Amino acid sequence: MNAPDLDRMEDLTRRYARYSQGAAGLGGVLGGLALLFQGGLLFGHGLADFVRHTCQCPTRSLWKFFLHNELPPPLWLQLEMVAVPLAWWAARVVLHRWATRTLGEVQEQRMGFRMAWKRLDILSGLIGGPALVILFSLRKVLDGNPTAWSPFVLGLLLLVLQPVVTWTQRRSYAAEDLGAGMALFLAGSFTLNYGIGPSVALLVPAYLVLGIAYFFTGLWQHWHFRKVRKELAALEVPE
Amino acid sequence: MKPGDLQPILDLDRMVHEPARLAILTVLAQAEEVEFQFLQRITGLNKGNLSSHTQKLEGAGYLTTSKAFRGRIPVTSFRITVEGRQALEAYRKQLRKLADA
Repeated sequence: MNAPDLDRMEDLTRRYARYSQGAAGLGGVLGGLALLFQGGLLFGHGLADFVRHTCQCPTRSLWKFFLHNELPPPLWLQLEMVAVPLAWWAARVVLHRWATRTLGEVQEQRMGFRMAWKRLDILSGLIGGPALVILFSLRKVLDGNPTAWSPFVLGLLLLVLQPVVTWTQRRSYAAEDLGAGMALFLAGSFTLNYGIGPSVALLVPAYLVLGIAYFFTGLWQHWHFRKVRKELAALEVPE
Repeated sequence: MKPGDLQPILDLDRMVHEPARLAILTVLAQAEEVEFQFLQRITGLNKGNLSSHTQKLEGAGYLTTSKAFRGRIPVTSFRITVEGRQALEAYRKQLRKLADA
């Protein structure tokens, strides 16, 4: 047996468990980039509509314009809003397998602040996100203003998939990347059910902040993962 | 501890006292669930030894084993039980006492 001492074993296990979760930080990096992309795309599309509109009605402020105009997404944007979270999910599963292929998976202990954060993420993925979209959609129907375009099936698909993805991936998710994924699903589902305008007015600023936060947290996590993987790779393994 | 009094040493839990099993329990106590690959890498045990020690620990009720498939690859994972955690903690306390005596 050629092994490190017990204290080092404990330390390596804790660090590997923490930093290998969530595709070793790459889920967060990808999620952050995707959120920035989605936020930018929605804002850009909304801004183009605003510029077109100001020619006819120049007095309205940008925020009020977004808040009071649904701006139905064109078909390509509807498909894109569904494709990006699904692509993120698939990429994350593949990357997680790649990250843990040599050393195997180690699940972090369920305790402390990070676990409370992860539970909150899981709850928001299972209930919070879908509930928010359903509430907004219901409000619109109750106001007698149901969705005028027809992305309902796509919106419903995301609404159903969000809890499914959260539940099936809950073990290998890190608190750092679960939120990014849930925000991506929420972005698609909210925009498809409620339109670009309200999505830009209410959620896009949050996507931009979250995107930057998840991107850098993911990078930090990945850097630590590489460090601990190098230390583990240096240990001898007998046949 | 009086000179020549071996009782505290004899009282040590033999299941935990063996170095390989102590290493296994120490690693498992730091995580929720650990895969065979990682346990082998960190403890430096060969496959046969690791299997044999984990079976003994499972027999003593100190860990549980679960087997699954990832694609076509079989994956074995281990979890420390409450009894295992208690045994490890009690062993550490006994050792500290012996060291202080």
